[in-house]
Amino acid sequence: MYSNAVWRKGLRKPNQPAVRPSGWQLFNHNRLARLGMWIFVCCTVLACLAPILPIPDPNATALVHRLAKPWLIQWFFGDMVQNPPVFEGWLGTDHLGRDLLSRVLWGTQISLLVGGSATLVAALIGSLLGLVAGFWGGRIDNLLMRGIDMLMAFPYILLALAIVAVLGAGLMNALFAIAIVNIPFFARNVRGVTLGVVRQPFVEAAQLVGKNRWQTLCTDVLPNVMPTIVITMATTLGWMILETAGLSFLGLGAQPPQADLGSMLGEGRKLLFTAPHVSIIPGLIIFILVMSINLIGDGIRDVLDPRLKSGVMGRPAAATNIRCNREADEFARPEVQGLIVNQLQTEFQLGHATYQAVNNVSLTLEAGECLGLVGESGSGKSVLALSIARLVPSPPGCIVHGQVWQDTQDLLSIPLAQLQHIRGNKVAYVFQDPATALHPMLTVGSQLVEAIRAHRPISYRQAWQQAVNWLERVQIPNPGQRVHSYPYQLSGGMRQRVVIAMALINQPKVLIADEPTTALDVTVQAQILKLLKQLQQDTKAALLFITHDFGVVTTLCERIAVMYAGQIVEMGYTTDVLNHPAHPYTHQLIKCIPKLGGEGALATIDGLPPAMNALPPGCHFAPRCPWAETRCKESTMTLKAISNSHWVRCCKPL
Amino acid sequence: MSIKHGELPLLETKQLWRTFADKHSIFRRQQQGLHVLQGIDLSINAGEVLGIVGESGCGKSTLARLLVGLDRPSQGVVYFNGLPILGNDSSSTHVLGITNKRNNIINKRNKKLLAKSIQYVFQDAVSALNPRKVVAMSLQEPMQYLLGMANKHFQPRLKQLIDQVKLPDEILQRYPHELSGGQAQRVGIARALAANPQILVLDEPVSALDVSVQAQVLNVLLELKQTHKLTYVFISHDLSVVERISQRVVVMYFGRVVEQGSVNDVFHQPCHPYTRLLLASIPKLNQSLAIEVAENSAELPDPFNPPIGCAFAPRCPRAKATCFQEKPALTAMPGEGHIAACHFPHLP
Amino acid sequence: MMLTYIIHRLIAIIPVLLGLSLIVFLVMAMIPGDPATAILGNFATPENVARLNQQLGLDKSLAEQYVIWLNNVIQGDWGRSFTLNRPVLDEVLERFQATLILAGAAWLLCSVFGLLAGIIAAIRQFSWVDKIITFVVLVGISMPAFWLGLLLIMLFAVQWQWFPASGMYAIYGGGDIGDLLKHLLLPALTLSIVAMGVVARLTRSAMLEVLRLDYIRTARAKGLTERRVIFLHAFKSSLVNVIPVMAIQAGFVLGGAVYIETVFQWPGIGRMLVNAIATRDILLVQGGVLMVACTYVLFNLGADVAQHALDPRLSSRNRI
Repeated sequence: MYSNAVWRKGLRKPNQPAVRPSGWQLFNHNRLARLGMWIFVCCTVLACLAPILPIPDPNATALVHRLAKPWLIQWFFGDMVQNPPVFEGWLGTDHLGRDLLSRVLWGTQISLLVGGSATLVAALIGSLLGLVAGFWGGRIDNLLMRGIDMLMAFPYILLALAIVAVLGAGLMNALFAIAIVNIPFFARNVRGVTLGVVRQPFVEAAQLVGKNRWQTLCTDVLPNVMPTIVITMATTLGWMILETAGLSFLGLGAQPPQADLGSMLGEGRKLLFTAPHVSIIPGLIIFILVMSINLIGDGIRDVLDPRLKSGVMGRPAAATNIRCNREADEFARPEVQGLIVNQLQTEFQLGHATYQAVNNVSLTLEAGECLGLVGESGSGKSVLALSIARLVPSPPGCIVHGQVWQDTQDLLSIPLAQLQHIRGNKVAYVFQDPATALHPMLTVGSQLVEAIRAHRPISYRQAWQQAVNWLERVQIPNPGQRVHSYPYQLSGGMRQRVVIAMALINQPKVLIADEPTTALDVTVQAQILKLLKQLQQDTKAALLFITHDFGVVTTLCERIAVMYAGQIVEMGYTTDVLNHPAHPYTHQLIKCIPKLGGEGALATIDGLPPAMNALPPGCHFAPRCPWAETRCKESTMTLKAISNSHWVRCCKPL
Repeated sequence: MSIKHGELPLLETKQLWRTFADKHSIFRRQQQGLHVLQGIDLSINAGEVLGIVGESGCGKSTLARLLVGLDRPSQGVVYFNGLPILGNDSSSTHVLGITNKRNNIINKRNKKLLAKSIQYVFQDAVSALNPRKVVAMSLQEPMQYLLGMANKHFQPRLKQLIDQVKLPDEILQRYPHELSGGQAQRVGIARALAANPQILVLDEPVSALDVSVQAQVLNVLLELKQTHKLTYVFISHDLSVVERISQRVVVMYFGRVVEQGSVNDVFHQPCHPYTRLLLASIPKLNQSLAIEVAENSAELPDPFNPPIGCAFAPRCPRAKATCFQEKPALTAMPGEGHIAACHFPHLP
Repeated sequence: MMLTYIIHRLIAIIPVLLGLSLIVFLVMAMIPGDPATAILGNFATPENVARLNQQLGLDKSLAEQYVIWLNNVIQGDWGRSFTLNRPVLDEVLERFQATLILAGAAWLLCSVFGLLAGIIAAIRQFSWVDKIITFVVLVGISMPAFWLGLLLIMLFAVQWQWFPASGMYAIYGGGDIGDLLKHLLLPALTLSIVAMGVVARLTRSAMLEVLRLDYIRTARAKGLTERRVIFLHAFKSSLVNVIPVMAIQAGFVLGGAVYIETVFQWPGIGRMLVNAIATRDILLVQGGVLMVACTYVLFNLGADVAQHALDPRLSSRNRI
């Protein structure tokens, strides 16, 4: 969560190779991880230097000076008269008068060595097992994983104890015990990731370029599993040190005179009441060491984890943030049955870049009307749809300007409680992918009931009856039975019907359908479109239909609006726009669509849509437009009417 | 069936079945397997584009994976240039393949041979590239492992490939996540071409792309076919794209071929009711507010409980009692090589 | 549906328990040194040793020994501890009761507070609450539990004398629930602190992941209140991912009891094990390990069942 800022600086602009911040840069930007790194390096260096530092022999006993308190504590708390501070080493001495500083340094060295070695052994063996099991699968996987499961059936500290019981107490034996009990952990983690990687198409592609299994494993699978191994190592090292210390604490690890931090703590425990510093100091060192390692581990995980890399790991708030300049909003309160969107502007703030996803969009949706919103991916059409009920994930999204009027209310300026009353009640949504739009662990019926009861004070039983009725209205066969099923038990088309029922169940004034048929097959799409049209006519809801498919729009909508780079570039009656497109983009786009019965090469649009954080000045389409002139690239375009129902954002419409 | 006399098809499949066996455990009765492909006979001539259309779950992707050796048929054989290259075939003698224990013809040696002749273009172009390798690395792998080219020959060939798919040279040093969908798909095509194959099997190569980008990729494909004398097996759910690019079309439903023939015959005189339904379901431009699909909410049959008769019968407006009891066979329809599996086909 | 699943799982743990007992048996059989010598002392005559070996069945093959041992274990004959001179099963059961109280309390603490902290940190992401929780969690998982125990004893038992420093009941008087709780608080808290950190961390990330999903957006688009969205929709999905980790934490508190019982002189199975290992009382070690491991297996079974009850998809995946 700390590293995102740097990474975002390197966000790619299309057509430019990204500035890739190195892993180290990312890591270094994370302050906590850097702090951990420094502490860890200091501890390690000091521990390594123990043999050459001017400190007493850790095992030299001097019973005369036993249990001396650390010098600083004496100095602070000792009374100067009766017990003048005696310097007996910086950290004092233990019950045999051995110098604690020296013992702690040597002990740290041993603890680090044992913990590190155990990590390496466990990582090596565990990762190997996990890779083999995940990559080869089948019987090998089964056999290995049964064994691993068996080992994991023991609470692992207990297993370590049992192993030490067999091997006998001792540092090396403790090391083996710790390593062995952590092997299953590595094996499971690595196997899981390997399975995920192996299912990726690029592993199949490796097969097609003539690699054998081993080559695929080494060049394709391993590099993609490696980050997980490193993360697991970094996050377990601290743990391993704690475990070794624990065994030594119980007297099963390091044997005297050899001492690691754990055994020092164990010895000091008996003197807890008389000389607490003997046990507190080694414990403190373990704590600091492990904490620094954990900080580093978290830093490494943040850098390497692909999920954290792929975007903002933020929690979307209940409603999109609004950052409007309210004084500028001088817009007469209209009485609208449908929906009026006025100069809406939505941005995404990612690091230092601002992506203008929706840029000054105004549109009117009359009651009972169906307006199609068409555009390619990234044109901002979905963000526009989500902005209406403030459903844009925020952070990073933010509405910076505009109003959305629905029935004398501006949805963007009312409080959340009121907005929640409008969502699903006056303004309802149908989303693109029915596979993910429904909660997988709740029955269809309970989700429908929930939608009703969020807005109507009726009993559960009544609501349930309504849910069944609505399932029937969206033509789901056997609704009385289907209402009890979970979403995964329904086909894609059925799920989308449920979503539609859920949207219409409160008879909303406005229905916003965001690519509702894109994830479906054509024959199912045709059914759903038919159903939508019919229900929209029945309920007299205004429909805002968002799609990338011109064909779908023409079957459903009287009017369409075409979006490009966050703006509406053309709007008018469907027949006008399709037959006489006035904006060059619309014109080109329609020519790109393969039509049944068409001939010859397809038209294409050169270039790529502009990056939304670096929009070209003037007309955003100018760089790709074959008719562009210099003035297109300079002056800002406004949406102008070319007839009383046809609007175009172009200075020389076709 | 549709082979012109005396001409050997470049790629041919005979009675290809793919069954996914149900995992049986001690506690459950062994269920019937899932028949994803049920006896597919296809033949593809050199230089033609065979389009395969059908909706999700019809088995078209499984078929594609079988053709390139990513999956093995449970039964049936694939012939390349008349020689069996993969499959289970106990009767014929194998010229190319050496039968291994499980009667599968595929083995290490002809796996490479297969990869040199037939290449595959993935639907999800970005994830078909190793995320930790720059494009150049991915592109040179076929040269290295399949063709055994020396390292020094890589560079000019890489440039040539990337030019052929109309991408700028600097793409070579990018990582897959830095590519747009269209660019990634063109890199995928370039990688498939790197091995100099005769056949490209394209599994929904443009379905994830926007129309303007889709047109770019389709044009690249059409041009490459001319310059390299390639043969395509083009799989898509989008009928208008298939019509544009193919010469012959195969329509699949529930693991079977229901209609096959030239683009003209299938698209203009469809005989199978399913083909007609597909064509009618496409939303067309300039045909406002007219949805003329009669059927409601009918779905694919339960794959674990396949129907005895025609799989399409429950959705078919013309279905009669026979349709529910007997599986229709592929029979000749008007038009050259035009066949359909229907008891009561629409005839002109 | 659920019942058949539970029955299947119950049948499926039989091989696990067998494998477990085999491991325990083999591990103990591998222990170097001769149990007979250990029992009779170093000055035993070879004849006596041989006789005892025969009595203990140690002259038979390993497989035979295992079958005999397993048969005995099932019939409740877990052998006799030579150091305590009483049946192992009696001792183990008595000690295990104490451990169950301690581990159970710790597990409850870690689950309740871990889940709560995780949820709060997730819904207040990046706020100071989140930062404090994240920091406390980090401290918790970096702390050697036995050291924390010592610190707590020093502060609460020695310095302020709020709680007793050790034992399960007061020696004089006491013996009631209140007394037990007083003794329980410090060790249970110590034992749960690491596990709590792990649960909180995981809950936070699971919640954050779920809150970004489409169906949460759908729930909000329906007009549901934020409380319902978070505590019903998001939490339900996150819980499925958190349950396995809570099961692992149960194993952790069961095992970690070894340290804490030593520190707080809790008369549980962990302390018994440490002593038994030190005195090489193999039968006692065997019995203790077997008991704890079996409990853990049963607990994991419970977690599995809970997960399946929550997420109907899991059962259906099993079918196909």
